[in-house]
Amino acid sequence: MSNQFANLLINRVIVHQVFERTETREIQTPRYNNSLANLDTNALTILQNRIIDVLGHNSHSVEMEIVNSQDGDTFGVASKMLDTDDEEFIVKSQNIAYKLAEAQTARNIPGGVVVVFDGTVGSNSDRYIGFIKAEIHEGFSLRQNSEQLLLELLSDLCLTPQQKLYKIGMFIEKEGASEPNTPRTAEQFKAYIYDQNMNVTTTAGAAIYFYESFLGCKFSPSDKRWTMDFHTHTKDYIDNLNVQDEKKVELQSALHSYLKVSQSNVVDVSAFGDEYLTPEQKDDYCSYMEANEFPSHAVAKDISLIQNKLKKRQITFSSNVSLSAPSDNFDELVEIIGHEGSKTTLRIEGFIKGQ
Amino acid sequence: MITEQEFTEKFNSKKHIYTAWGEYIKETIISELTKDVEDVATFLRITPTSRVKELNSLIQKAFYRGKEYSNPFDDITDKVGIRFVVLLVDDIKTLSCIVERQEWESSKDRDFEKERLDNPNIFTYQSVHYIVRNRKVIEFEDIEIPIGTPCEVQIRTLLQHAYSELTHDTVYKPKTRTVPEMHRLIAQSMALIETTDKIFEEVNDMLKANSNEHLLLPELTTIYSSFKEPEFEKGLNIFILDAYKELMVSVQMHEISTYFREHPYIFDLIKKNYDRNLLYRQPIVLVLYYLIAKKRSQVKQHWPLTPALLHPLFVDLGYSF
Repeated sequence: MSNQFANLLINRVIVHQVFERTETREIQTPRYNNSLANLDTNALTILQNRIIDVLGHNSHSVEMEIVNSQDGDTFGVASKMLDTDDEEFIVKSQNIAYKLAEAQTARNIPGGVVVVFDGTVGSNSDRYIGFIKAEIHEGFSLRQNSEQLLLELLSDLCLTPQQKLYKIGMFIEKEGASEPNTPRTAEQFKAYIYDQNMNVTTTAGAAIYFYESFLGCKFSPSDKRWTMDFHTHTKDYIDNLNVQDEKKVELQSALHSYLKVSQSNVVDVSAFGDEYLTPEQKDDYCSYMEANEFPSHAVAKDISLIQNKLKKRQITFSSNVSLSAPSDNFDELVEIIGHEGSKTTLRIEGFIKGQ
Repeated sequence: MITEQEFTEKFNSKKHIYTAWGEYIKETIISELTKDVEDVATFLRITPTSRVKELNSLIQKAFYRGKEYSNPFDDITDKVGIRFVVLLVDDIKTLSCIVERQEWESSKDRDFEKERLDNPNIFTYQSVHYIVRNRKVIEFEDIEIPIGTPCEVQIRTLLQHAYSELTHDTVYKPKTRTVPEMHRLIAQSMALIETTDKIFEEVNDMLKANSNEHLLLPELTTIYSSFKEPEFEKGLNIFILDAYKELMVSVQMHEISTYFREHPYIFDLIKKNYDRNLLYRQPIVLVLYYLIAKKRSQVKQHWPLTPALLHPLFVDLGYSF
């Protein structure tokens, strides 16, 4: 497996501030910074942790397709920043902060901090450019005076471990694509995006401004295919698991509801493992999916290719008897009571209607 | 029969020979020991010194102990002696082997295991004593040691040593008047010491049976040394390995080596973080990276220290923590 996110090094970092739209929905000019941030080792470490925790392997980030890649688009500006000197980097990053302010068309989108950073990542040290939008929130800081401990309110916190309060996008240059002075194209880069809103159906609309309007990305058309692969491989994994048959039936039901019922807008090996498997099984499952070349990040859930498969569940017995039932309420229709010798006792809702 | 006067003169003229012979034997045994044990300083619980007996105590032994020596000067074989104190009865065997395999002549003068069998109802002083004599003339530190010079080598456990420290000078040597109750108490203590030494041995056997995975440590150190000199806090390395004992059952050393051959950039990560904290400087960090790559959920589940120490290692490999 490639180690796309290993060895993350952060080179240049700059911070700007964007604001919510005015009451007349006009853009408020962002507060621009004219110099690069000077972060010490500890601060860089925390920043690395924040990035990898949401974007790295086994995170819930999504690989997307870069669609808007003209010179004036964020990608067009950003992809050139890799080869610029610091002065040019600062100017272009200001341009990018403005693009975020532009993308935030709705009044209810809060302002926040925009972090633009570059560096290298992966076992081959591929170059990348990254963007964080971090919302500012409140919290407390613990102080001590001579007599007591005090909680002091801080109203300008950002980038705390609260993952729903920041979004990250990263364009990573593909191996061998770094020829200077050639026009940069979307095909030379991979795009990874994390935005918690994006991953839940009910809030997916709220995420569009970041990944689409700002970064010019769309869910990949291959997500249908990935969702199908997820279903196939996970089903096989459960079938071959060394647990009792009743447990397997439970896990297959879980897989069904994860794909069909859950409010999650993405499918993701790590999330499924966390929810339904023991740590030992999760490790095995992750390796199994890796071996089957399923991505170690999330993919958009698109069940259009497996609609029919998800409609019916089928159980086959060692005697070649098979039973199929609607999956949506499988657990209510079919109850597995137990085994005795080579016989299995089931209790089925309904009468025999046809033979 | 030799007189006290003659005995004194003879002893004084030969004292330097005994000193040299004692030193020679001590150094030989210690240098042999380095071949058999990992850490000689810990193995020998009390630093051994060779000691030539005081003239007065020799004279007492020869003439005032009621022992009828026909030739007291030669019959007293412990004019110089060395004592080795170890933790376990098994360690005594290690030292016995070393004494016996040298080119000098060694005879077992006292053997507590044999004495136990000969007198099964008695609990008393226990040690292994050898009388060592050179078969040929040895020159050591410009002193010529004549053939057949005797030296007593004592080997005992810490507990046996404690017993002997309590009793030797008080109860046995001079004929002090001792009451039966005292003898009884001392015998009780030796019975207890013998029992405790057996229990120690049992504990040690259990530790050895459990320490198979610790055998990885030397190889890990070798891999680490190939790119930077590791620090080695044995306790920390073993503490972490123990936490992952079950996970490690299925892991072979060659799988770890292969993993690092295929991911050489991890060595650069370790070098970069070398000064960050102690963990990065330990060979065990290699196992952690390997396990994170292969079994990260379980690594998190069984991690014995604070999550803040493990988090950076996940990030280094690009895994969400």
